Amino acid sequence: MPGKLVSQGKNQEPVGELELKTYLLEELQLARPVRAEIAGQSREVNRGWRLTVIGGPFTVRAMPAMIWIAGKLAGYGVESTDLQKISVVIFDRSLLQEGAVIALSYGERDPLRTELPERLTLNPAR
Amino acid sequence: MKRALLILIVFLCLFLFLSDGRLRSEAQSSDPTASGPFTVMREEYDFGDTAFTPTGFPSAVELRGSVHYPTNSTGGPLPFILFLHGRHAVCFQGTMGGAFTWPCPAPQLPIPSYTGYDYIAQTIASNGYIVVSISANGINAFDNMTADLGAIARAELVQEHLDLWNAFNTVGGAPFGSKFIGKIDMQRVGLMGHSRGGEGVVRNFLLNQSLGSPYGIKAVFALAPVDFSRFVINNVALAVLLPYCDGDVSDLQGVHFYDDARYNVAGDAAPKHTMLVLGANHNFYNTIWTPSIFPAAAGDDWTGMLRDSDPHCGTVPGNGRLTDALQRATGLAYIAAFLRVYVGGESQFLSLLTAAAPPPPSAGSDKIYVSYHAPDNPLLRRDVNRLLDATNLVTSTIGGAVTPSGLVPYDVCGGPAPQTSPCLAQIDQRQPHTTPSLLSPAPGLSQLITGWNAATGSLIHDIPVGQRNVSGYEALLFRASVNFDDARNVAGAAQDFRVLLTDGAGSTASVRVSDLSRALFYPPGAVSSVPKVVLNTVRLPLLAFAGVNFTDIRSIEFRFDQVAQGALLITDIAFASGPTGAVFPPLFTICLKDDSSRAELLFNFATGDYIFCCGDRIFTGKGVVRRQGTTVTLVANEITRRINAKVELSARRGTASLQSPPGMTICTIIDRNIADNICSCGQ
Repeated sequence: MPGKLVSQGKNQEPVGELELKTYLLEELQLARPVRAEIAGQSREVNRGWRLTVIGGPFTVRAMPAMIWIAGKLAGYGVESTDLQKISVVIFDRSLLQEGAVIALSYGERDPLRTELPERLTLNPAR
Repeated sequence: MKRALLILIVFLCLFLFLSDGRLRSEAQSSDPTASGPFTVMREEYDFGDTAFTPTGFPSAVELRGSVHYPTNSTGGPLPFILFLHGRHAVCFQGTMGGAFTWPCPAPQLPIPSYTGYDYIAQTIASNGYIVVSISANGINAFDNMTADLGAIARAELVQEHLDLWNAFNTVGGAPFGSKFIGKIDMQRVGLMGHSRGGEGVVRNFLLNQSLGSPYGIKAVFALAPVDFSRFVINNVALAVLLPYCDGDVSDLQGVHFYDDARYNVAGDAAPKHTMLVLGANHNFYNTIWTPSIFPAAAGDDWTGMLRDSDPHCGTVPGNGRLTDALQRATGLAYIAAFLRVYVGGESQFLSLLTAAAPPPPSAGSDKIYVSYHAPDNPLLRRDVNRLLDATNLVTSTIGGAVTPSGLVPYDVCGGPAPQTSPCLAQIDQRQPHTTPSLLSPAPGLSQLITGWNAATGSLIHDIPVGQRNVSGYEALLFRASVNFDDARNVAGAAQDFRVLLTDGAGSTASVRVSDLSRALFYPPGAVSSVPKVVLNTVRLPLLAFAGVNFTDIRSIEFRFDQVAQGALLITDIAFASGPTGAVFPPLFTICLKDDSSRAELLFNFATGDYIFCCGDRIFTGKGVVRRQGTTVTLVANEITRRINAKVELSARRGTASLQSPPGMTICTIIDRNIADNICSCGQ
């Protein structure tokens, strides 16, 4: 599903055990509303945000990739066809905080959890 | 002179007593990795990349697999084993990994992960089994898009293959025609799944059950499995292999399958096992995921900048890692043993699974630690203390007083609130029994956390009236691990203590755990997800407790007087025996049928179990089988009968005779073509 670019990082140097580089944030306008759980409550939403972590190529593993924003789980990641991106769709807008740390792990308290070198930017003009 | 003679007699008696095999906790066992007498054929079947769509799955997937089967077994129908690989890259080109999508875009090819267990399939099939391994690349490519991360899709894929093989067995069909009609016993089915495939085969057991159990799944082996959803299966033999250096499922969460099932269903007739394999990683059980064997997308999952430095799992000199060949040997030994015991009824390997025997030399490592949970049958298991909650700190499961002395801490941890969980101030990956599950809030394993500051600590379980006759059990069992997070344990040093049984007359017998068990080893490693606490079974044979009356045991004491101080995690204290009886219906892998009469002899070449139909009479028993090349002989010399049989598997012919009483031949069999036999003796 195509999305509208919100922001993207620029780093191209891989960092950490998982060799992360940068990220891409897109807004998605849904063709029809879907129900999503937000802050523990089921709500109907018609838009979401796709956060993509770029790096790798990532190894296909049994444990799912987990994307974190400011220490909160954004969701389980889905690998791209070229295994150089892992994406998660977010419906809870409150997770997207200016300056938040983005991290990737395999498992909840994975000792190899790796943070992106760039913080999340919601307004690239700033 | 008389005195010297007396001393000699006493010495000899003592020697014989101590050398009694029953006294050793680790008896010798047969070798489950040995090839059997049958010639094995390997074939493939393929209904295309998009032949099947699991319910609600975002893509169609392949129906593809391989089958290993004996070409010259005339017994049967034969047991059916199915393997399911785990999550891995799906496409490749040359030596490079390819697109992560399905079907693979040309000219890329599917990675044949399903062929990665051929080394196991070959061995099991040569012993009289039909072994299928199925491809699940299509599910791998899309399962992260599903709510259960592919568990039900994998379960449905397994069921679809079982349906296919049921059709091959009943009406036949392409590509095998009539080759397998009547050859497969779909009521003797065993499953093995690796990684996400491990959770997949567990989920399939539940799916098959929900469909009315059309297939008789007797055993489920989960190899380095994920357990995202905490599915629990009961009344089926279960084994979970845990590779200590797993760099993918690094929290060894699959141990939950065992922990969760133990007391889940009253009367659960099935045994449960775990095997902790030191030095083993996640991938090397599959040859296609092993870089020395397959060039594309394979790798050592443990490696990494940080992990390489680990003294046990890393790449530093003197580490504890197994080579990929040795690691496969561990998998072959225990997967073959488990499936042959519980699907094929070959109980000669049982001692490997109950901690009663050490790993066979062919397993490639002696650092394999087994746990065993006996069936919930009063003849096979009497729980003394399940340690499920704080009440068990005072009163045991069977209602006896529990008395600690000099133990600090003395608490339960790891289980449901209000217990503290996890037990140690360590990351989850180092505490498999309490590691959280991605898709379930289920709690972890409740266990005793304790320790002693001086060699005077003790823990006494009084055995109440009505529970004191334990003479019918083989051993006292409990699970334990050295708590590496407690500085009272010396790093790298094994722990030890004594166990004392006291009877109603006040007689006491004690054994030192280290004399009978290796389970109190200090968990190795120092980086990332190691060391780990994994509770392994300590098995103390009752015959080792000489001089007490097993019909009147009044207390069990753990006396911590062998090491000045220490700390342990303990659970599942029970008297128990290995499973027996109906768990092991004999399997007949060879049949001789007389060319002119109705006489038939069926036997199992490994166990010697036989059934001889002679006219209207049926003789059953157990003989001695010998094998030389492809010639197999069976000899049974009993008071009432004598049986001699010889089968030449390569020439596909055999002869047999039955004398009853010995000296009077009442049946002979001359079978010039064993390949065309349809045997019904005993059915």
